[in-house]
Amino acid sequence: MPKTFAQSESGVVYIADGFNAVQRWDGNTSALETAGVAPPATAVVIAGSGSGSISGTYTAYQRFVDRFGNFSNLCPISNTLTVAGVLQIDYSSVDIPTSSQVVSRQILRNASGNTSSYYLDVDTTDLTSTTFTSTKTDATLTAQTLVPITDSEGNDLAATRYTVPPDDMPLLLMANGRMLMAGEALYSQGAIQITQSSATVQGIGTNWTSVMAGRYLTVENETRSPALISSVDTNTQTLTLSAVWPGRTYAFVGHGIRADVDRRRGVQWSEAGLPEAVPPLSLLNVARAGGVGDLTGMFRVGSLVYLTEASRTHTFSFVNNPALSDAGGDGQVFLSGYRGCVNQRCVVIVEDVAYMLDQQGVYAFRAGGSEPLSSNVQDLFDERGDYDYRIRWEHSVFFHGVHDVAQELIRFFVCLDHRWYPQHCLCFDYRQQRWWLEAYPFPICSSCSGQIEGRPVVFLGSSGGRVFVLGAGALDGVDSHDDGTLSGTVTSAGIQTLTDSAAVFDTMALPGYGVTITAGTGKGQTRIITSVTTTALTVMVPWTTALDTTSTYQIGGISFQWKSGVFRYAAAEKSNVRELDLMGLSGDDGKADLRLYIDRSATPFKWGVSAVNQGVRTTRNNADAVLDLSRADGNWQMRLDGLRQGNMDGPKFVEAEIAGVQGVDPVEFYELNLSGITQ
Amino acid sequence: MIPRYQLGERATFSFQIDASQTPVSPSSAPTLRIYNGSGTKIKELTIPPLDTDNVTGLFQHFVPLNDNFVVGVYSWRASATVAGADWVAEGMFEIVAGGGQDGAVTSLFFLDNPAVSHLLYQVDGDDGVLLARNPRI
Repeated sequence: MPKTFAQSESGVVYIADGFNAVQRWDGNTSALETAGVAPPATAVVIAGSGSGSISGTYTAYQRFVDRFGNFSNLCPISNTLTVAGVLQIDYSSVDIPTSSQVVSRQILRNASGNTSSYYLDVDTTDLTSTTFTSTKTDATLTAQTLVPITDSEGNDLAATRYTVPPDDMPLLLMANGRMLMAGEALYSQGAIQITQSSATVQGIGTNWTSVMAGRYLTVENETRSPALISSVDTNTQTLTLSAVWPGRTYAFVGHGIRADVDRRRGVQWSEAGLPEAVPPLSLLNVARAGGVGDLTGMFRVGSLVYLTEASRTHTFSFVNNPALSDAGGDGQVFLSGYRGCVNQRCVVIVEDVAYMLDQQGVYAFRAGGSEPLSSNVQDLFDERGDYDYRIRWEHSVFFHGVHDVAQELIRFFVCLDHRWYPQHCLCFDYRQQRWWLEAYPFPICSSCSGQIEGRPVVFLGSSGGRVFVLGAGALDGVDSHDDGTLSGTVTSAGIQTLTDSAAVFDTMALPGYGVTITAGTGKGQTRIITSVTTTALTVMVPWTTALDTTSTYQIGGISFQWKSGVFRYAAAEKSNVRELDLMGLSGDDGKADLRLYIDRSATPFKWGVSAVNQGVRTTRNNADAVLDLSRADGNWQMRLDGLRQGNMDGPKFVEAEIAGVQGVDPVEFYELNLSGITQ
Repeated sequence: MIPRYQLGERATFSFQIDASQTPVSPSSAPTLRIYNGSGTKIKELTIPPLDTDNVTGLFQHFVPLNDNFVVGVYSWRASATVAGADWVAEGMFEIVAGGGQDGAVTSLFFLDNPAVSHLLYQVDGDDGVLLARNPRI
């Protein structure tokens, strides 16, 4: 389950996934810490001793404090002590913190007879002692810091106010000074072995965590109520149920572990300005606003928070207290639309518009409604269609989107095959309203916008712990300045090897990256490099077409392909001008071909002559017209004169395609003119 | 050709248990043992069923190739008991260079502080979160 991040106004980052305690990082520590401060588990024991001037009836609490000044909830209240004329108050059984994040402990005591106001009696950085004493009389105690337990309306201010953030909600969002948490983390990996009349459940291929205690186990094909989990042994992957299992015995069966039903569509929030203090009563159920499914995402535009399901979006607004009016707050939640979002990471906000991906497509969500955007690529969303590409939703939990600020693009990374992680993306130019599809040689498992030296960039997370910067350089992964030979001509090859005797390959830098055959025999094949010598590459998958000495290669080459729509030749009784004029920019490197498709053919037209003209080289019986990318003027032209007589058979339609592999120099085509066509 | 992976990927183990070439359900989930090139067992686990409702005896699991593994050739053996008889399947796979034991970067967050910027990223090798300071190209 991908983790969710949110940054507080003080700069602390919070991290949640619903299967582990919420973590935090302040930018300084060497490791993440657990958010919130767990309270002392046991009550303090209070007694009086000696002869003095302390008289009255007292109770006490203990609480912990971390280095940020975050408090824990109070421990259970102590015994009640009534004394007359004692010298000191003796505290014993004072709980010792187990968390290394606790830096001090506080013992609070009331002034005699006042049970709602407590004062700081002991404030110590001693984290190991279990006994303390105080000689404060009521007069000196009430001069200490007052710690109110409740406010004037009886609302709790200390006992549960500092409850640590819930560990079962995977969605995080900072809004209006509060940390909001929402959603459900359903765990269903692996299977279980469960036995009738036993409370022990054995995991099979599971990775259960200790925080799953208190959640509910559902068993596939069993209609009985979910079973409450009382404890989890993470080492043996064994669950203990709160009661023996009354259902059937299964040697292996699918399962699910879920939170309590009231929390699945719930939103919780922290105290204002205290993101690590999340009182348990701060819970709102979206079902009250017409919600029918689980929450999939949560985002903010301006001051409004939006909650998404798979096919619904709700608006959640509040000013001071997110609770609804019947719970004493000013919060409101209402249904905003019948489209949702596939997950928290598939919301991309640009200029106060939320671009979202759901199973119907991509759409723009504004306060005034939603606007479908993906009609040009809608085939990808058609589950019934017989198309080359179709979005596979099985692993949609790993889908993600990102805003490319510099290019003014939005990318949604999706699975178009049965791979675990996305390796394709739907790319949307939100200024020009254009779509295209990108394929990557590696899985792209995550993304985020960021900056490098003030320049906006997109970071992409991939396999092998790699993080790439999108669009940095013209090659995929490799460095054209430092990584040795990156392109050349094959001098010999084996079933899984490529040798270039003139090359000086970088043996350390290249494994894991792609090599593409750019021309000659085997053109168009891309393989991942697995091992390297100075002059030879070994690839992961054998070549489909064996290479020979006509084959040229590019390491880290980025393949591209563009195909026009279908145009109709103008009718003419005699041969007329048909011309193709292409404008672009390129350097010496890279390869590009031009292909024509006649009369909607699935295969490209094969040229009739071998010729070189205007920067274009054709070869007889070969479909690829090779563009000379070294042309200084960036202009390539082809004459295709011919005629299409009315009522006579002959070529009627034409499509143009440009495809190639980018080298060290970026390849850019920006204009294609076709003459001699009517539409 | 044996399956090839890079470190950090998930090796797929998928098999359908049968008796006389008819899919059957074993008496308990099969056990998978993975051995390195020296024959030393480096991992043992039970494999969950893939789709008990629709397919009999089909089991599948994805084993993360984390720091238990290095580049090299591995063998595996899956075993189960079917009606009192042993069922066994064996195979091999290879881990080739070019990966990383951390696994895939499954979530990313850019933290921009005035003095220093960081990338926080989650990896699936051990489900941890790693920190990178001042990202550079």
